[in-house]
Amino acid sequence: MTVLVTMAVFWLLHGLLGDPTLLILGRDADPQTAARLRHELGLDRPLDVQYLDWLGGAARGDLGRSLRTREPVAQAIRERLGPTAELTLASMALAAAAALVLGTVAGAWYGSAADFGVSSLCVIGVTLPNFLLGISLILVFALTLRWVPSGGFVPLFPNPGANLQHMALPIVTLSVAYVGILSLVLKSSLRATLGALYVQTARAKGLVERRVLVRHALRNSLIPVLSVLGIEFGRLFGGAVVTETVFALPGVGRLLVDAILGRDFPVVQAVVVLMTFGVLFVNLAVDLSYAWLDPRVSYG
Amino acid sequence: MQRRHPRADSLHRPASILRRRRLTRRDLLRTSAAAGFGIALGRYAAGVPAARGAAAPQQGGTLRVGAVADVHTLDPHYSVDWSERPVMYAIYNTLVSATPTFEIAPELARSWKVSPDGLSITASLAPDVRFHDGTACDAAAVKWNIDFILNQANNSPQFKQLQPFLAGVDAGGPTTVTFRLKKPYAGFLAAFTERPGFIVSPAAYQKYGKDFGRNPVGSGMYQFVEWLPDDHVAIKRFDGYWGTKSYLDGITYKVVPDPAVRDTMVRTAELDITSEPDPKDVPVLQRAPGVKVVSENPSGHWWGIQWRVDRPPFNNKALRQAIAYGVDRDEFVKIMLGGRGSVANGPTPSIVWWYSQPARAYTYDPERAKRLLAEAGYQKGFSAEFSTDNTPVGLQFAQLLQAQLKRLNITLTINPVDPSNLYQQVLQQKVNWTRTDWTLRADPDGLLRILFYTGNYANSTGYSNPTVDKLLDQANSTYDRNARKKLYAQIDQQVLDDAPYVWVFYPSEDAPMRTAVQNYAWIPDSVPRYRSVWLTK
Repeated sequence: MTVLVTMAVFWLLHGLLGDPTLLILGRDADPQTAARLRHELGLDRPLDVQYLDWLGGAARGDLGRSLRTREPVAQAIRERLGPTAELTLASMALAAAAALVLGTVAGAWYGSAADFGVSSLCVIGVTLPNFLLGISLILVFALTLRWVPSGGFVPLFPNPGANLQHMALPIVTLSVAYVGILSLVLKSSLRATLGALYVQTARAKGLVERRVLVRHALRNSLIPVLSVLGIEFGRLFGGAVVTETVFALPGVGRLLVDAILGRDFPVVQAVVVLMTFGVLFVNLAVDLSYAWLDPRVSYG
Repeated sequence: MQRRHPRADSLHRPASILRRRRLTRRDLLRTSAAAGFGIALGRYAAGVPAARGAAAPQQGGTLRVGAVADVHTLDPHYSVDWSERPVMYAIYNTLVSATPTFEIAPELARSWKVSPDGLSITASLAPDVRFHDGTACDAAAVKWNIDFILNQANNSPQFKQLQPFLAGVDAGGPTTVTFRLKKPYAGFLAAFTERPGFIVSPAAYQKYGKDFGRNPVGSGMYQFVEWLPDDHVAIKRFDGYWGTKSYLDGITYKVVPDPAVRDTMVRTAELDITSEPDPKDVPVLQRAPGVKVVSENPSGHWWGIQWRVDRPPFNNKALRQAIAYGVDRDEFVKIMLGGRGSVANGPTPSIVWWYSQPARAYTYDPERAKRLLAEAGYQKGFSAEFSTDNTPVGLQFAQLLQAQLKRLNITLTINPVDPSNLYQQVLQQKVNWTRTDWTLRADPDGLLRILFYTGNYANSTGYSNPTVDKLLDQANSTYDRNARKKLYAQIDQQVLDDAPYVWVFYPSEDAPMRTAVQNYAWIPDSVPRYRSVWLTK
């Protein structure tokens, strides 16, 4: 899977974006220097040779050097992994926690004013563009109230307080859309589960409604939510690119955009591989969690 | 010359403060007389212009700069990005520096003499200059740097700037360097105000190898502290600096890509100064407490349109001139820039020494445009594709042009192209008619030659006029500046008449800053230096 992705990315990048030498040397580069550099970087070789060369290096753990900065690609990614990992994982956790509450309220009290309120907020959350929400939050919480800084990053260790101050708005910005999606999915799923025969049986046995809801209905309703969580993880990374730009976070998303604009093929390839692994890993974890949530599922 | 990323916010740059400190030509001539051909501009010694008229400078504080983009390397021999230059001007010295009118002023080279045949230039360097690593910044170090650039095997992007005229360099003693030229070249010194002129520590370069770009060592008034990619670059005052020491304790260049967020951070005092604000924010910033906006108008950065003059339909001079008369430049300045800019008529703005008022320039004249269209054989108008970068400002430019030319029955189909791909498509002749923008170089030959000389690698319009070629050759082979100015006036007029480009406007440059920031100086190459800045407590 990863190999197929890298192959597709490699051909797309070289086919669509073309030659990086003018960006390395400047647009007023003289043709002789550009040709020499192209040769030295191996960009004048057939694409399949270039690809196999890159793949061979990657298999040995050598992701090469950035064409633009000349720094090792692995180092470039390592330096930016912290903010992106914190942003995406914290956003996912916040979205999941908020959706659990909101989706349960909307599903359990289906058709009520609470359901209407939650559903409306969720739809707004899903449709609100990241950059607009981010800038609006900055104007309110950084410029007007002065509660948090407008942007920038402080590492989690050794300064967790300052880190939280800097990361609060980006995490909220990125998670809002996912709160909306996950809450709506949970609401539908819970609504269907609450009508199931085994839930009616539980009620008939005289169980209190709270126990019926939490113990029997909610747990079984989480499977579609988890599926969506896994699928949406790739999109979460896309949202992180925008959020990192608005809040000036030094993350992998900005590295990727910069590398695409600069035709920095080794960096783009490596980040795409990383993202692919990330999405595959999260989806694997989601698949495995089905068995824990629903005893009827087993992988034996 | 470097092309800056075409963003709305890249349209601005500071003025009035600068003019108060501007070095006049009279100053220059007065001081030049004392050193023969060599110049000794004490006020610009090592790049710190003295503050005039204002309160006495205060020492201390760290300037927090909102940078538009991250640096990719701090190795000047491999630098191409605009974002790297503000930091490099703080860490390194250049051989010579440029004044706000693009005069040449001393920096590491304190004076220089041209041989009678014009083929060698001997520069006398400042004595006892040390790099931040303690090694000597002397003639041998200068020779090492120039030789590095001239060595083709190193693939330095700066090679193209020196190789056409520089045969070699010799160190004649600890402070004497002689440059051997292939032919007399008046733009010689100007090249050393830019990237080819940054002198790095050879010892550090050999120590760090490919990683020098992350461990820069120069002789400038600030020394490198740290660079956290996509977050910030920090530098601090170099106490062993040979020239006038900095007022500040240090500078932090904080990368904030979004202009609206940068502007907000100046308002919340998270940043002291930034550049390239969102044009919509400028009036708000001007009214904000504790904030001021220093503007320069016109700037040294022009916007215009270009086409292939050797391919139909624009191989028709009357057609090109018709469009030049049909473009309402005032409307562009008013609508697109909100009045924050000046109309452009030719490749040279009025702020540089080689500017002369053109005798014939284009004004908005739709009737004349229609007559010329008829003369060109397009009395009923025509349709064509216009390519532009797909940024908000690129598209806005195209849409306004589309609306203006519609009045002449010219129908434009807008072809939006990724900004990083547009120039490549122009060079590959995949597109014909496009938006463009260029920033001046410190010598007129720099930009005019690459754009207009027949067959030059950056001559992307296919323009060829033997008269212009001859004038360009004449102008760069004489060291007499008055003669050069007259020749460049003829070149400007000729290219204006021939219209390989239609120059539309010079956007003003705006720098929003806290009122505590004093003595901000800038140069028409759009690169903020911050060398002279100090902060009130």
